[in-house]
Amino acid sequence: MLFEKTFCPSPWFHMRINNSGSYEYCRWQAKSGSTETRIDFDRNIRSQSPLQYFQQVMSPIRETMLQGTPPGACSDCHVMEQHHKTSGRQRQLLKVGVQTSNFAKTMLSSPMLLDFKHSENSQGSTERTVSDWQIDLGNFCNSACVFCNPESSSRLATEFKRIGMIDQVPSANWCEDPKLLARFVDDLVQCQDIRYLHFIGGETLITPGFVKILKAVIDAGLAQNITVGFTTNLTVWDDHVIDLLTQFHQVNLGMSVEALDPVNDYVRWPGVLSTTRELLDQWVAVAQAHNWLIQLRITPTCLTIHRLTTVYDYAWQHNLAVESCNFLTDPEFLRISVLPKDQRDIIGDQLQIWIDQHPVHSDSQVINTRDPHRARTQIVQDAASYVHLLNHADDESHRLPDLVNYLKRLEASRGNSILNYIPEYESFLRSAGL
Amino acid sequence: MNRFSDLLDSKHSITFVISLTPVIAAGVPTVTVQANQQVLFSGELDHAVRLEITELDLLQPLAISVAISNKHYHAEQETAVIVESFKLDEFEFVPSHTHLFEYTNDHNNSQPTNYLGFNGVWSLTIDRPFYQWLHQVTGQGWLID
Repeated sequence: MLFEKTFCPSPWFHMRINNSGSYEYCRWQAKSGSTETRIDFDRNIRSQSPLQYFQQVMSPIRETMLQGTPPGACSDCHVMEQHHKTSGRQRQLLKVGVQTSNFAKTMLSSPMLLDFKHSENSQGSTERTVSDWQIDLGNFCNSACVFCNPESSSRLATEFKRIGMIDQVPSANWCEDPKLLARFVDDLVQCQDIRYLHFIGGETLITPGFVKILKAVIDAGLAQNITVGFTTNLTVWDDHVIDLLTQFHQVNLGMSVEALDPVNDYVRWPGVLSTTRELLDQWVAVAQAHNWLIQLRITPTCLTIHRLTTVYDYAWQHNLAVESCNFLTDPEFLRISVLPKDQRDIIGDQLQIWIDQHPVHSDSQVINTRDPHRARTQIVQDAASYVHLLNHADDESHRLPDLVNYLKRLEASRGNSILNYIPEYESFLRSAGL
Repeated sequence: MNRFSDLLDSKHSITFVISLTPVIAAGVPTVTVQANQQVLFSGELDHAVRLEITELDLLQPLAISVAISNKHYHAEQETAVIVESFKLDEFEFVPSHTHLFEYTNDHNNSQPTNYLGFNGVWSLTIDRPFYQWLHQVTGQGWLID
């Protein structure tokens, strides 16, 4: 692939600490990345500082990036771009002034060009520190979404163990350990280059580490220069956290919702649509009052893609962006491409009708997906990426029996039935063994 | 281009194109168009012109101006210059970004415009690499340095 199709600047300013306290080089990196980068992904806050990991251990990532051979774990971004969905790579490029539509000139004009040159001449090392953090706070969560996993939801972990899907729940989250949290905060506030802290859970608002880190950053006098991003599952409200957030330079608020339709309750179990809707309206009002940037965060699966327009309708009405991290790949049986072709065609047509009914002025791809002035264009662009995926992704309907087996086990535990939420799926789900 | 070093080996510059149409009912305006230190046009503008320079440095600051002089004001007839197009590479400034220009003139009229109806200078000053500047004036979000 051409350099402009593969290069990503993210390893020069971003890293992630995941729920186990291990470091990862990117918030978008695929979980099943290849081993070609020869990087030790087990590096953990228990064994080394984040700065050591960033400046030294990530050197091979930067080096391969400059050589035009990015790590295999970057594949999710390449897939998103194939389907015309704005990728993490494109977003990270934009943060250093590089646009994929005018790559060479904007890259040579980037304020980070000297840092790239430095790494080119020093086996990928860098003297920069982390500006853009993703902090995974652990799996402490009151939801058990069907597409989630025990590492990201304590409730789902408990349920999986009870019904025999896992032998043991994941070990304690790193930020439940006061010493590790203190060590992390110490390292964090030493770094004067921080621009962005993005938190995810579990559910951020019920995770004590979230408030502790916010307070520590405020106490260190850094808050006024830092943007905080976080995602909430629309089941919780916390005025105290809102008070803390108002002390930061900016807040990027993500609200997780799959559909403004009862199927949201099935997928984001044990959600209650009326509560979800009420809290959504409440958060939007607070965010607008404080001039925060707002996004609806979606994780479309084969169980919700047919109701995605309900989210787009709300977003359109309130001028909000809609975004997903990537196209869901895991669990495999919940991929959109698991739907039978005739169903994909129906849903693709419905989405296309929605797009046609919502004309926007669009002369270029929206990369800055947080730009409220282009929110409606971004929504339509997002919808178009799903139409493209529905029309072009490989057929994976052979995974339908796996989907049915999974749903049957969950439904036996939860006492619900997918057919009460998506009766139009009955035929092919029955054929697959439901 | 397969790797970073290939990019560094490539040479790129910025192309500037401006199209001007004069209004000459009350006389022909005297016009000077400059891009950095280079004069693209100087003299009486009595017909529409398209001026182009292809080698502006990618990383250097830019100062581009259109100066009008020798206009004699009449109550009923007009002398002026209309900037029909002002492009740096593919970015067109007219009409959506005329607020980025400074218009210094003998009527102290600083309203954003591409209709230059006064003796004075209509200028664009970019104090950093063009694409870094463009990133910010077009609201592309952070620029981490």
